[in-house]
Amino acid sequence: MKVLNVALAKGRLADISMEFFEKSGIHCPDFNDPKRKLILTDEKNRLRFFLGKPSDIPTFVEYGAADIGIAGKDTLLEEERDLYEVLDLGFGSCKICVAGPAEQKSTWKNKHRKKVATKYPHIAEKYFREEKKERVEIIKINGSVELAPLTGLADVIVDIVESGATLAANGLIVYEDVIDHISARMVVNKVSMKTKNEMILQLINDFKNEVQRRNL
Amino acid sequence: MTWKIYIPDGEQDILAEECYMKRTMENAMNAVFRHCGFREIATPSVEFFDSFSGQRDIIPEENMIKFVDEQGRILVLKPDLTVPCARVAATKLKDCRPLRLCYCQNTFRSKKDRYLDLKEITQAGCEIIGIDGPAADAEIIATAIKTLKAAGLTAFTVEIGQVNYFKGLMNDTDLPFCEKDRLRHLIEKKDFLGLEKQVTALGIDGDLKTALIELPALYGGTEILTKISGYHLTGKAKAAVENLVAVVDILKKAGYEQYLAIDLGMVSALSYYTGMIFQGFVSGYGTPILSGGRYDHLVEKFGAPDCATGFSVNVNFIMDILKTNGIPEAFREEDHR
Repeated sequence: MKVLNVALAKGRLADISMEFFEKSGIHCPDFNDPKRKLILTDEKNRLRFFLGKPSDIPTFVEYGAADIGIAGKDTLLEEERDLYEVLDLGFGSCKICVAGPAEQKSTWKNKHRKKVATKYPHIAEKYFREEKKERVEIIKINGSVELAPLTGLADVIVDIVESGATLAANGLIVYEDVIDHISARMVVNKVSMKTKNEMILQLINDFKNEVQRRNL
Repeated sequence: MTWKIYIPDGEQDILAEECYMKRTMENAMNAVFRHCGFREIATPSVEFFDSFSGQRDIIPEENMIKFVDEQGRILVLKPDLTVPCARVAATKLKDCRPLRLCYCQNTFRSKKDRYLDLKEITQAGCEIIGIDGPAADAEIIATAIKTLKAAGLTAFTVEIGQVNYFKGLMNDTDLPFCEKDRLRHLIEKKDFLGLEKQVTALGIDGDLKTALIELPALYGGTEILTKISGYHLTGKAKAAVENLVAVVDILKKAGYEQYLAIDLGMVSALSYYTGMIFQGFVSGYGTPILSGGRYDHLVEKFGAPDCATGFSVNVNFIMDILKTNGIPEAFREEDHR
């Protein structure tokens, strides 16, 4: 019997993903073990879970190290990996926006050669090039992106916005939406889709039903 | 900093054991090509950019390594081997039809391939120029299967699709190109739910809606063809299914069924491919090792319109698989076995 390898993004995304697997009759008692090994198997040894950094999930799946993965649409857009993106799971919903200091909202557009700080250099560069038809200076930041406009490192940021609370607390507001629907997606390796077809289709189907049930 | 002991990014040295494997494997593949009636040609490493331009689907401009000759013309290190074959077929060999050509040479891209991190890749392949219809398509697929076997692979699948099925369904709509391309993208990504939403949002209904929503799931064994042969189809889509049925029929009769699979949801490179398309893969290896299909509009670019079908194998990918799964005896040096 073939084992299905599943890559999950450590953290909240993995927790909710595991609820979906539970609904599909897959139980992984080790998942709640505080020791948190990086590789876990379900009771029947039909699935093996890898817990990785969110931005690495598409990589594991593209190379076939994992057959399927659950990753945020933001990392999929940033990585642009060659994968099947079979299902929008609906959770982890947010937007990617351009944001900056409230008082500069009316003037930032006139600035020549804008400086943009972001965790998503590819998404940001593509947005300004394709949608705004301009070249900007991209500054890659790995966390606390809001610091960039506050410290003068950049004019604006391109980042994920959920409630907007972090922005507001730092005197920043959304200038415009870059991508208005980000959520968790199920991705599948292109070869695994064919070679482990039955197991994967069963999961897609169960997950699809769960998505629809949650939306009701 | 001196670079003399290093090699550039995306390049590799191939050492004795691997080099022997590569050479013997290439010879084995070449013997199959010859046996199947294909004659080898070698085209230059450097060609004019103009020969390769305008094929965005398969070779984006920004992926070519370019430089300029003494007369200011743009040159490229050849990124692909089918285009040079088409050029030769339409010029020096324009009076030879049908034409069966094969090759085994290196190709160059400015971006590293994601799998092996290489810019220089060896490709081996075959092209039939001047024969239309399922017999030539089946001949090309059969040659591809024989090639993979000769390369030492045992468990592989060749998956066949037909771009005209999707193109035909799209002909039945009056959607603008961008909407068609969005649907294509959703099908290509096998985004089942996204596709269903989009089809509904576009107000497509009836048989067409059913057919489109089902498209990403139309893959599996050859029994898929029996299923869709029962559909009420017209025009291009109908012809596409008939073509595929005929191709698969010939291959089954020749005893290749165990290697075959179908995927009508393969809808990439639509402006390049004009009919049957196929890919070869090995379980456990995340990327296709072979690709091919019918491309009836490429040869005309060089002044002599003609139909064509072909495939090429990524030799480096196969070497990678053999290294993991075990190098066949025949590709190992006798005195070092």
